[in-house]
Amino acid sequence: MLFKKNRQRGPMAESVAEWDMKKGFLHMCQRAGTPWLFGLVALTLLLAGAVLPVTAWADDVSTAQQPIEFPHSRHAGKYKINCMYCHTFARRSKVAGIPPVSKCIGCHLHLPSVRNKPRIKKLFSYWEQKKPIPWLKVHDMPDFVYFTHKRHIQRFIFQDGRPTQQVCGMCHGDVKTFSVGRKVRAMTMGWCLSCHKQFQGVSDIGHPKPAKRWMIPVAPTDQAVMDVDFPQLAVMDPEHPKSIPNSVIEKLNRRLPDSVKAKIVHAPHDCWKCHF
Amino acid sequence: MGLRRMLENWSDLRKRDYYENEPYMWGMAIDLDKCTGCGACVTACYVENNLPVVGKEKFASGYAMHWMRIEHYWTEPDDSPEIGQKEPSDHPERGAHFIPMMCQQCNHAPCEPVCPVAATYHTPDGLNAQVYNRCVGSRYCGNNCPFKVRYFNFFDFWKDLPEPLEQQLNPDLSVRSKGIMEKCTFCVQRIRAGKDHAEDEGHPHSVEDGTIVTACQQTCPTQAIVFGNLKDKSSRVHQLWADHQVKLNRHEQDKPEDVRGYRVFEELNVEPSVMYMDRVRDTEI
Repeated sequence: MLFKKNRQRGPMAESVAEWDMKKGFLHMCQRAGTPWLFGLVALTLLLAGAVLPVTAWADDVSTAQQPIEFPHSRHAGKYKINCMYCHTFARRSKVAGIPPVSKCIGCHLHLPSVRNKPRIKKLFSYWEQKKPIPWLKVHDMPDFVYFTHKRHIQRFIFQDGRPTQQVCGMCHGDVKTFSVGRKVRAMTMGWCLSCHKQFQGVSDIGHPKPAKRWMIPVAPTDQAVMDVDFPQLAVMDPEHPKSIPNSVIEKLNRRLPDSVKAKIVHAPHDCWKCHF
Repeated sequence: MGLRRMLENWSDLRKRDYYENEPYMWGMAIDLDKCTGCGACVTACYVENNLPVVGKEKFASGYAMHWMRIEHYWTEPDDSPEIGQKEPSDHPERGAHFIPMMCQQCNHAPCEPVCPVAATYHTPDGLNAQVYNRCVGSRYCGNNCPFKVRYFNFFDFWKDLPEPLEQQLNPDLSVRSKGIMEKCTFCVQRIRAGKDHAEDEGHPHSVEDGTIVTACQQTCPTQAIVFGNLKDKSSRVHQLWADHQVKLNRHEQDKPEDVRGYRVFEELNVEPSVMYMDRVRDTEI
């Protein structure tokens, strides 16, 4: 019977069958009274759209293959080499800096015990070819973000006299336990602002102040130093120059779930402090 | 702003100048008598601020991205011909005025209130900020600018850079992508670096005059451009403004005509932060 039916339909049989299927789908929706199924599909798509950017910040490059699997655990953990011995620029520049091959060789030339290990062989092959090691950048800030290592290092290590690994661990996690460098914090704007909070009481325009929580010593752990396990939202401050009425902003903020609302930080007045 | 906060900070909010106690207000003074129209400042700006070189055709179509441009004005008194010529020329040799024109960092900027997403606003140090990551590219600000100094990225210009040339981009500021408005920033990356340097030296709220130099100022062969902090009474730019009796907070300067200072489109009451000093013509002497 099925065969017969198909023969009756002729050469267009396949496409007509497809059309029938679509019709069936439509019928199903119509039978339900409302196009709720379409709504469901749209909702799923919307949710996917909302989730995608959230997952995008957690760009963990640990899965990517570094040219040499550099063991931080051995250098910083076992041998307790200061972070700034290799990342020399951190104390005086915006970037922390990746050491040149000569810095690696400077020590490893005098360490014959590990000379024949595959990673060290690879290191020496770069040295002999006179080529830089093409490391992959683990913490890559967006282009429009102005962040300087110098100010943080100068303040916390040289002014406050905290241990180096603790200070670096505030943002980079407990690197001395890492076998390969990876990103442990979602470096979002809300995350920055969770320290650089403004409007604690009187308006202090343009002068980010470290929050009080930095005044108590923090142990460097792989656990988040602060409760920032999801990207914090940086919402518009009611006083921020804007064209949306305050009531709308407040309404938008009110709609957020309590768990999110608790972690909201207000964006400071001066975007140009960090974005130019 | 809550009513409670408003009442608490009533005296602050009632102040005529909200940013009165801010230590900085960046300003500029350009001496047109010194300007030779060579265009070195424009080139410096291109290099410093990652500006794309758009090419001839796109320039002709109006896609040029020069934050700073040299405007030419040809004036010849009573259409008289040049010496040795019979007919008056379109481009007379002695008549060119040059005005380096860039964002005037207006204190009452017409671009700011029209931005739908607050991507352009006034910073406490008197700059007209353009936040690229906020900009949605409505181009409303560019249309409202009386100086026409805002430039829109119609293309991803940086993608056209051939292989080694992306290395010459300045890492201190963004490389703008398609759909973003941009304009002169008074070299804000240099201002931030100067403040950073001042903080290293232990005086974060007073940058020494002359330590922050904009790219155009640095390159100007005749040193026609002076940049500095207008709030600092001893700064060169403040002295120039005072010498030429150009004052803030007015749309018309009450000063004798033989003083050369003026601000462009002052009558629009946009309060530019750039003061020009008029050229003294040899024909007028």
